[in-house]
Amino acid sequence: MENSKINELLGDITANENVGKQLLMLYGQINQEVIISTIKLTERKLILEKVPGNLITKTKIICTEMLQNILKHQTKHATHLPNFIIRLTDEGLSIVSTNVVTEADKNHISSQLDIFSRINKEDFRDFYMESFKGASITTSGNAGLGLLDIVYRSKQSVRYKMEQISSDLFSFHLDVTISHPIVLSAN
Amino acid sequence: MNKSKLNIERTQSSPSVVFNFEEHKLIITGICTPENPKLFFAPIIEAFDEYQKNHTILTIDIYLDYFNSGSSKCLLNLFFKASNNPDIKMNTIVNWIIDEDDSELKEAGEVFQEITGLNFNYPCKN
Repeated sequence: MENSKINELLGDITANENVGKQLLMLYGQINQEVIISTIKLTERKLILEKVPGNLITKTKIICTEMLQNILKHQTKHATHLPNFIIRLTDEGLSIVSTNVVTEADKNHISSQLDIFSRINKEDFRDFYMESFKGASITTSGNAGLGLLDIVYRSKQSVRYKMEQISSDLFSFHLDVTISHPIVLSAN
Repeated sequence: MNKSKLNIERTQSSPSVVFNFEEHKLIITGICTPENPKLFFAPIIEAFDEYQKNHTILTIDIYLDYFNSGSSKCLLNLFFKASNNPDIKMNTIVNWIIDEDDSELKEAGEVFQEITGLNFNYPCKN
């Protein structure tokens, strides 16, 4: 694990005034066991923070999608390792992930997220239902619904950034907010 | 004699499944985030196909902690199988069990209900 990378990451986070309360931070390659442990730990932390049950369920579903997306699409890179951070802020829960993707994945992800962002809030549920109904699942178990599910459950509170790190690789930064006023405990 | 036609044990990322033909009951309980949901749901779909050859009454109890989108799609495919058979559709009840105040899971159940037209109940566990 590279301390400089972690420091850089923490620097980026703390540069934001509304840093809130760090609940969890992952840095390194992700596998199914890491995902299971992360979700368990997240749930425990949210229970301790007295976050309502429906928000805990929403968070677990969104985190699972974000982490399984990284697992399925992560392109291994020597220095740019995936990271995943959950914070409690005045606005609610902030979930941020970063991982390396190929140019083809970058184009696909950007195109999907741009389409989702252009849909009116009041039309999004219908769009979700139609996409859900029409999706087909591949033999490897992909339904292509992960990003849509994240956007739907977060009520379109999703921002992303693609940063080129080499000729054909990009760092994909996904920032999801689950809006809800949560009183931060003082510790 | 084991009455269950299908019995899958729960793991850290997949739910327990009991499909008892004689009791006309399918029960799915736990976390549902297998890496390959299609593979996980294949025996359930297969058992359902077998079941509907000779039965028309079915109660499906589903109590999930959380799930991934692939599993959600597989569940929808299972519900479609029930809703596409008019005899089964009329006699199928889905008990989508939720913890008290878990509007997120209830909303997920309502999406399935709206798409398939199956008869859903939302009993609370607590």
